[in-house]
Amino acid sequence: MKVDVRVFGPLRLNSGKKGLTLELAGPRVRLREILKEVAKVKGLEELEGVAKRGFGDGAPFIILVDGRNCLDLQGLDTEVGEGQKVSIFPPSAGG
Amino acid sequence: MGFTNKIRILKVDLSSGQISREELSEEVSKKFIGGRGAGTYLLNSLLKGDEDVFSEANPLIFATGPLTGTAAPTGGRYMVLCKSPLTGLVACSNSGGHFGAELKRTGTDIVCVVGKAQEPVYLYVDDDKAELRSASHLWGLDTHKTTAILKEEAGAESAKVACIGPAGENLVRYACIINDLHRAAGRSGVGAVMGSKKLKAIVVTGATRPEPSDHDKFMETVKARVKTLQENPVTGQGLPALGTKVLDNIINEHGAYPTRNFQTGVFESTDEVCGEALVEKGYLKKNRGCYACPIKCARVTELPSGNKGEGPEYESGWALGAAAGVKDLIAITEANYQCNLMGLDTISYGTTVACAMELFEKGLIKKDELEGGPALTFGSSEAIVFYAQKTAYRQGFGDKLAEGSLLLAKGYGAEEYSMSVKGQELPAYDPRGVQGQGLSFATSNRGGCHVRGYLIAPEILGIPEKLDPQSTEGKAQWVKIFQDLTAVIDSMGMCLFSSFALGAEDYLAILNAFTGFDYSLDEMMECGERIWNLERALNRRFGMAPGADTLPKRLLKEQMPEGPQKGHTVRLDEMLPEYYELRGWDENGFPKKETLERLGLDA
Ligand code: SF4
Repeated sequence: MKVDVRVFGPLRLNSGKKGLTLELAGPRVRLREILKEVAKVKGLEELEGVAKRGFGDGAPFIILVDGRNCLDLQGLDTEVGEGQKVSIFPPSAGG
Repeated sequence: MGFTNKIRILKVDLSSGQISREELSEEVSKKFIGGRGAGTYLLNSLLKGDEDVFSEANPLIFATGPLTGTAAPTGGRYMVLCKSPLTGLVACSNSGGHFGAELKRTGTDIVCVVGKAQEPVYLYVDDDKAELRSASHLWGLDTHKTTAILKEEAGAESAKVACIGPAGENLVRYACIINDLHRAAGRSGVGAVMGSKKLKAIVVTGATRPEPSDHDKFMETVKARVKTLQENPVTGQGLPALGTKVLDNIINEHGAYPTRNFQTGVFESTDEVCGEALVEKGYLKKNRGCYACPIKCARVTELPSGNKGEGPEYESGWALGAAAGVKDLIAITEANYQCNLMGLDTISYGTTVACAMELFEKGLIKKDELEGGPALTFGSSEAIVFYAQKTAYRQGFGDKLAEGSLLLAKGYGAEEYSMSVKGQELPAYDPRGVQGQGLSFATSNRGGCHVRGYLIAPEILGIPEKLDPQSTEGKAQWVKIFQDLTAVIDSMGMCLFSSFALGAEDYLAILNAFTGFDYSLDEMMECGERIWNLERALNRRFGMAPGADTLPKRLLKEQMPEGPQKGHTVRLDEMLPEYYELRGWDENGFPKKETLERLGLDA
């Protein structure tokens, strides 16, 4: 199955990539596994740590599945299926 | 000058030309902290309520907090207060840069300007000397030329300038005050009140450092918080690298990025105009900070044309971009520069143009009314740049835009297209996707505003913890706490952005170390609550209508048409009664007598 992953902020600037399409063995894959795949890309290695350790204290990575924060779903255990969109932001704020 | 908790006021009567000094007692500073709180206290004592906003009686108050100009991280902020020409309610605009800190170094906490000058003047303050000087040669000049000339006249590089541009002179209802060239006391039209007084600028230069009550304890407390800010991923890395524009994609991916006058929450061209694009296209040159700020979120930019300036920041970039459907980053940046030169609030200007675009799209505004100006079609980069100057000078259709979106839309019998609360335009979040932020917008004392309770932090960014943005449960309590804490931070003279890394306990430690007041956490939060209630009581005197705590019909009744928030509206009725209950207010949204008594307010 195919999942579109988009990366933003310093992740986009560091990797020089706006996103990538992953080919994964479906029908559904947990977000944690997706992060591990994405972390193989140069400039996105820090996502490996998120996949392993979770969100920890303080401002979290913002990881959305179809526009919904995984923290409002099942966290890194959220299952992602064909055609869904994952958006990843490092801890951020503004106003 | 040694330590004092008294609030030192420089009072300037422009009608008589008299300048005098007064003090507010320690008791007042303990109850209201300073800055926003002390300024509100002064407004309350100076205004009956029914005064005209452009009359001599409306004071213009520049208020620093106890921490302004100290070593406290982000301690460079000050507030400008008056009765607002945009809302008729409390105006209370915050700004950074270096002006506030320099004002404090003259040994003054607050400048309170009343009356009106016959001819344009500026106020010059050099330590304990203060005088009014002619500004006839400056009237009509933009903010950058004005600042350059005044710095030269002061003869000191250290002199700091806050001034108005043509927009303030021409009483544009959302004219701002610009200090240090690029920082703005942006909202609610404080610049128009300055213009009505024929006060072009205030220039300050001082050499008196504010003294804390306990120097060593204060420095130790402050150093620990600087470290916290530096080590936090948001304030130590994210904001310095991308500034507030890191939010464009975050909010858009959530489907809460208001587009074409809030017709939808997804802007299809965000990729073209976002913070990342500003870096990739090479327009971002470096970041810059306000006084004593380790975060340094400001953007120094240069366009291929050679035009330079600061910004756009998130709000401005949105208002001049997605709000009007504009996807040309050069035009957005150019319009932002124009607003700063003219002294226009970017948020209200951009969103008023967006409102006009919807009225034009609906056929209510006709082409021939534009007097040869570009058509007001959504997406027109030409229009967003062109009408900035026209608005500032009130020329052609700009004269109507200068009134703000509510009066503009009312003029066409179509109030519902003004995306405003209490007459002030909403900022860059569509609350149909963020319920708590919706409540915060609706109840804001100064109308549509994101810095009176930034619920985006917990609901979207997960700071200090993640809340489900679509749930209304418990949001009333969160909004109250955020509003009260924000009032404390504003009153201290620190930047709200520090709260992405610091918590209430940190502010308490800093405040206590400086003032020696030894507040408990509850007492400090009660100061915030007191300020919030005094603002509300003042708004009642100013004529705020019962039921004004609401949102534009579009956000309450029209479902979000697409994206992650599709189908949602703001469920205000699920939150507002609980909020009033928690506040100790009646069903019309005004403090009950016992609430005012509990807070020691006489209003
Ligand atoms: S965080 Fe940004 S706005 Fe706040 S004081 Fe620092 S530079 Fe200024």
